[in-house]
Amino acid sequence: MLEFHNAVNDRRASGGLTKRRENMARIFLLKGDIANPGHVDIPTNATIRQVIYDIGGGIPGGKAFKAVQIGGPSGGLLTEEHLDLPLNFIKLKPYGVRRGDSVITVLDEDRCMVDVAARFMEYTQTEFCGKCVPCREGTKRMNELLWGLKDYRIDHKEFTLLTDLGEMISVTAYCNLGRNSFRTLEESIKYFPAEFEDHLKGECALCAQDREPIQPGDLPYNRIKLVVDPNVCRGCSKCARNCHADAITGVVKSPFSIDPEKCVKCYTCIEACPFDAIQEVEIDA
Amino acid sequence: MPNIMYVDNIRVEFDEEATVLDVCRKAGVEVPNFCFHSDLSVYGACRMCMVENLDTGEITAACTTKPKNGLRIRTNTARLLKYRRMILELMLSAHCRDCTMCEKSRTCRLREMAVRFGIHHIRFSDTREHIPEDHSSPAVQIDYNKCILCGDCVRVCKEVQGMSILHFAGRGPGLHIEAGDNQQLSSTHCVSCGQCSAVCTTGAITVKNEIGDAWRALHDPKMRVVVQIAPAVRVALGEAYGIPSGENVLDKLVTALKIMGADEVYDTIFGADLTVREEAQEFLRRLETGENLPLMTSCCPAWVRYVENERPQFLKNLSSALSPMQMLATVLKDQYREKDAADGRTTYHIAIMPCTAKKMEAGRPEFRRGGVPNVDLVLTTQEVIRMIKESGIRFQMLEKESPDLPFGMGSGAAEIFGTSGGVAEAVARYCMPDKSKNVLRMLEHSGLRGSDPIRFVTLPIGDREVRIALAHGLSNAAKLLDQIENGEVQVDLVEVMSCRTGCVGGAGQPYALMNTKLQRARGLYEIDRSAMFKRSERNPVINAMYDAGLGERAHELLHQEYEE
Repeated sequence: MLEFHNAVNDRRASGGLTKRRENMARIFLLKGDIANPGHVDIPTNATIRQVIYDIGGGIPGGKAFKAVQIGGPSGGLLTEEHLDLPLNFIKLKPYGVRRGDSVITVLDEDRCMVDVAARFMEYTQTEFCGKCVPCREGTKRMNELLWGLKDYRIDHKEFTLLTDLGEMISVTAYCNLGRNSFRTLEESIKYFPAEFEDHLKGECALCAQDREPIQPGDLPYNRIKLVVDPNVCRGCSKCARNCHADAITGVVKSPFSIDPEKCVKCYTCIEACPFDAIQEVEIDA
Repeated sequence: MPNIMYVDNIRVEFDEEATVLDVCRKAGVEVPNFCFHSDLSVYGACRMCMVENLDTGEITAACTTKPKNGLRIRTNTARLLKYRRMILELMLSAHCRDCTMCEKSRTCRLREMAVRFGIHHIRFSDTREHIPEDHSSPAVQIDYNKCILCGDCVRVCKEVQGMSILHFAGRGPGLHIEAGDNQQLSSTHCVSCGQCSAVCTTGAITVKNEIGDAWRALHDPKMRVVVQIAPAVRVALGEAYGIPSGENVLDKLVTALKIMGADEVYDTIFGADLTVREEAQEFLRRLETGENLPLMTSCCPAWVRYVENERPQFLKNLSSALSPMQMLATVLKDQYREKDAADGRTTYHIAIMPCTAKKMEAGRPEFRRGGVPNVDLVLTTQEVIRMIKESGIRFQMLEKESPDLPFGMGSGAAEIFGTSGGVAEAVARYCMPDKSKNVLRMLEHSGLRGSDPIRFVTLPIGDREVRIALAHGLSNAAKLLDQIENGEVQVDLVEVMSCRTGCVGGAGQPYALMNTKLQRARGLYEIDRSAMFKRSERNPVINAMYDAGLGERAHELLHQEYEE
């Protein structure tokens, strides 16, 4: 029996971002190689297997499951062995998976991970704010190198540069978005090294197929934004002071507001807010 | 119990340091950084100052971490060095490498770091689009292609000057610096204070280089090149040659300028004495009638521009007395007209200033007579340093030569024009009827001197108490104007210096932090102490000129009303 979470935020929940977000509306976007894509309300105790096979209706075309990417640019990758873990971000923390942009991208056995990683890195380019050097310049170069790898243009030396860059960014970047931008690629290399070898050699059977590529991110479904609840906000300015994207503005002692154009959804403000005034809401279509 | 930290196993005590980076500096360890400027807020974007916690192995940025008792950090582990090199390489890959032709080549932090970390090879190609440079401002030029987005200029413009002309625009890969609403700098409300160029870590924002014009004039036999040197220059120029800041190098600078081809070298303090005289008389007149009080000083061209652009309601309060540079220049051009006609040469007047806004002031149409500007060219201290180096002059070994007469002498009161509080003190010395040494000593400790951003001083002049307000940094000036406008404070005299610490901290000076600037200010006060005469009204040359009839022409020559 699956328990559905009440979509109303539990404001009293506290104890770190992950826990707090756990208690928020559990609406996710299922996409990729899945029979029933779209926005779904996921029960609190569902395992990833249940999400894919029961809620999402399984993988079309009778293909086998390969991996699932959760959280977009700042999220991570899970494989077959993790399928029985619950979709609970406190439990998933040791596996490096964050809720991120709340998108679950399912990949079937015929997806080349180099291609997937390159597309996720490209998606990162539209998400970061540009403040710190490692993320702004580093992910740009990683993106260039990764697309070079996908098109069989780089050698082992440059591949080492790519992973070195990733390691550097995951330590030195300013925020979690930047620090996690390497994770999807890192785990792809860890779980599926053969495909990277193929690309370095110059021939990949999976990429040779003519298929619609994976489209990462919540587009065209981008329906979540962060807003300040004016009734709860007391105007302490802590969120604005912690926002490195300069997206939050306001006058002290009156409610603040978040510019969705500038917001990178790193959730630093949610973590900072002492009054739980910031919440995720769905943008009306 | 003192708080203890260990930086690379060096034991450091700390109490007031706000960041780990400050503690590292205290320990004598220079952690590399681009976006950390101790006079500005912390930004934390360059990620060069990463340090490793010895106990947890955690890597954090030193500039955004608070020091903690018992914290043990390493600044140079293998990992950190590797990351730093990589960050530098990434920065350099998105930056032009034409260092030999760059204005800031000598002082560029990016170049310095590249040398320090031995970056000889960049593995990435430069794929950026070229952005046109901005040469529109009379004071600074911007090459957006050399920007590394450290944000120092944005913060200095916002926090110190309160102008927010330069700001970040766009996001992600498109993040860039923009002036105004994507405008040329000259069409914004920029006051030309140049502080952005002073803090710029690379060659992106530089002082407008007019060395070429100076050489052309110096090498032209038809031109009589007459130079004036501002007070703040003499206590800072030596820094480029290993001479401690605050030491007076005026006499050596005169020798150097003569070697380079200047015909006559005068001292701006002569003009400052004229300014004090005219401004103090204006002040006494206004005190009597009570009109247009408070009187606001108008020596700082960036401040005048600020009032014109942002607070025109205070224009009537500005003193109509010219700035010292213009005072000397008008008198000089006026006196040399006959001389020029007699020997067939043209007088070309160069002013050596600590200031970029003076370049703007020199170009203003108000300061032209008969189509000729009073000051033909303004060179900043930095430019003169480069010209001296270019000439191959070994500055430290030069002999001394005093400035020429008649315009080469001035009072101690004029020397301190270069610091915040100096103009007000000079005016007070003139206005106070008691001319004894006790008054000088009293003024020294009256609160006119100091580094507080806004200061209020009450002095007895005649039978009334005169209230003086001082501000340095335009953001502080704006606060002061707000207070005056709201009636929170009642003042009679307002002195504003656009740059923090006054002219000694001007943008044309060699790069310096707060301590160095204050050191320079102390140097000026020292010169004042050893000056032959301390009061502007004692200047014999000026007195002789007034006796010869300058007083009747004062309004025509020495005053300028500013209008909307």
